[in-house]
Amino acid sequence: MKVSDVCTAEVVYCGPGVTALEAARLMRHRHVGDVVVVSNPDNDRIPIGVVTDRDLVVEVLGNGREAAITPLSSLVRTPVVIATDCEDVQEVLERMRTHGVRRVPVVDGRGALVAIVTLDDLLAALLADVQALLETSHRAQRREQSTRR
Amino acid sequence: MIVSEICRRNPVTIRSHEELISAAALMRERHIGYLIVVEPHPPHAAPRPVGVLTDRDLVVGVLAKGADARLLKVGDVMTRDPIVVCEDTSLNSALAEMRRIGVRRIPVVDAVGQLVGVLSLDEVLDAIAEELRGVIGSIRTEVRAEGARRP
Repeated sequence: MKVSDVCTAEVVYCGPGVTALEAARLMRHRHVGDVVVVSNPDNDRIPIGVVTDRDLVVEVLGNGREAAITPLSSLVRTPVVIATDCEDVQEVLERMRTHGVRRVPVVDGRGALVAIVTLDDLLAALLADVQALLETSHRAQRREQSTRR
Repeated sequence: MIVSEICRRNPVTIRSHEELISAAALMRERHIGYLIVVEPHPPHAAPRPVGVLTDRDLVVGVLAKGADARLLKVGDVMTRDPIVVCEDTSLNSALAEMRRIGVRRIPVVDAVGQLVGVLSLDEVLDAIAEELRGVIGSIRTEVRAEGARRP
């Protein structure tokens, strides 16, 4: 299974100069828990980091920093963990485990942001396989019942 | 499986009159995103959940509104009277309840409503994965046993 089969194309992104306050508003209005910070939102969209709602709480509120003057560039962890759209999901799972992240920006062949893939996406894909396995197993049993009465 | 078998005991709690900044600091210190707001009720009895506060509540309810966090208390932002599950509830019913209200974590109480723990999707997944590993182990043993029986 490829990353492009399971990732979410509706990714929210912004530039590194955007403040924690603006990011919080983006998260509120777009109903997401993370924004991808890219070098140039209007052009090449190279991811430089991910900022989660949790980062805003822990790094800004928890540290007594002023959200209106804290740029996201001071919050992102680098280097950013990324995935490419044609990669196998197994490799991305491995990378999530190594780095302890649940959300990974997906880039195209030129390195531009195109989507985001989350642990939830991967879990859903995995469970769809398990579901298919169970259905196959049930069907095989029914077929046996109907052919060998 | 019932909830008490997999829920996490001794969840991190906070009181509603505490400052929001302390809640954020507590989330930072304890590496969690979920606090159960408790009040001893009646006095000196074991605590009961009166609210929950997530890291997302702080982003959506405080930061995004441009509110001054220093002026706010936990009680101003928390979700009051959270839905809880009893520890002897089946995992299936607990999951159905969590799905119905759209949460990933839910406080767990005993028969008289005292807080005993928290059930999160992460722990549920862990428990299910453990059971799955058990099933896979049985399948492998079965194959080996057949191999030994009918070489």
